[in-house]
Amino acid sequence: MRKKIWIIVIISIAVLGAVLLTFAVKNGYLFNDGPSINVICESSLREVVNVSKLSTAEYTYNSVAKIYDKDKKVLKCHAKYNGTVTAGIDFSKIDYDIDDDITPKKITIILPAIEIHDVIVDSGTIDYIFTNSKYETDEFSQEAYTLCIEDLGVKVKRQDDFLKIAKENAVKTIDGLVSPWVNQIDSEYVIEVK
Amino acid sequence: MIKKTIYFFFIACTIISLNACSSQEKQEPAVEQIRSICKLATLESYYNNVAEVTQDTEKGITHIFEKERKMWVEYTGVVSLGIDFSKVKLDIDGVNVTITIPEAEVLYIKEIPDTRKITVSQDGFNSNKITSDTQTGAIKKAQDNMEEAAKNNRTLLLNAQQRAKDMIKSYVDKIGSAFGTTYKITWISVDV
Repeated sequence: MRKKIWIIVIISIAVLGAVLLTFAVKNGYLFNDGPSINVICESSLREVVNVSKLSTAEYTYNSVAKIYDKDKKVLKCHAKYNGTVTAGIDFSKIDYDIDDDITPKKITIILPAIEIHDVIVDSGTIDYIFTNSKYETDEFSQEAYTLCIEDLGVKVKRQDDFLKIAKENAVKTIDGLVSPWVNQIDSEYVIEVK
Repeated sequence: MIKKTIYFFFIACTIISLNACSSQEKQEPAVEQIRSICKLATLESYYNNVAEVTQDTEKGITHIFEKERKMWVEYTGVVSLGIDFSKVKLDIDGVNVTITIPEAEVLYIKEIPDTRKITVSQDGFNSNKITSDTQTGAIKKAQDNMEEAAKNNRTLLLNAQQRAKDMIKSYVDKIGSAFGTTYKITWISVDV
């Protein structure tokens, strides 16, 4: 008799538990997707600046940056980011020199120095893994973004080929633009782009 | 019997907690690539962006005394506009030059570092934290919004193309004057 009562009690508790669990899951008290988040954005144009950058090489670097505290002793977070660096020349500074006194006659197109144009980290794709949740402050994402840009700047400096490729491409581009034209004007001219 | 069960349970918990405490530093391999491009940027437009994040409270006993949170993220973004220079073609016929030039397009967008201003509403007794991932998601939406605004600004795109034309014309005039020739330029615009 006692045994039967215990069985009924255990089964009743199990059924009640299942009903409560179903109710909790259905109404979002358990296993929900987290809080509902709503984002509204506004953009307003502030200023337009003239530039003349001919970019001829692009360096893509997707990596993980380590973010430390101010003393560089405690690791706060790993931040995964997608970055791009572009390099090229200032198009408005291209110069030329024509030498008719030598044989063959020569046109020299002088390109300005290759420079890094932009270091871009896609701030909308940075992902974080914190070593301790206390480091995740409201201002942390800005700190992480700045440090990811610095990390990318350091990485690109190690790439010896990058500026070399940018220069070669700049030479090819301007040569491709000018050569057919000058050859049509006077085929005696030799073109050098440097 | 009960003592044995308790000892076994204690040892199992210890082993599990030791494994859980060890952290594996996993670093994804870096992906890097250099590629050739040919883009002439002629305009950079600076935007003031504001992303407003509203985070509701969650349901459940563990979320009692939570408050709805609001965060405003204000920052400066820049949109670079220009042309694909590889599509520029020069056809010369005597003193007539026909230049084919593509339409201007958005080359890239970026956030200017150290320009973010963050304003957050007060938290409740039970924390309803707005995470860094949520902030990043808000910035992504703001960046997309900014890019869309630039793409829909027909005047800005036409100005960017006009500047490209002025630069190329200046270059043609320079070479022309070296040969004592004034070229007559005809422009043909092509779609991107």
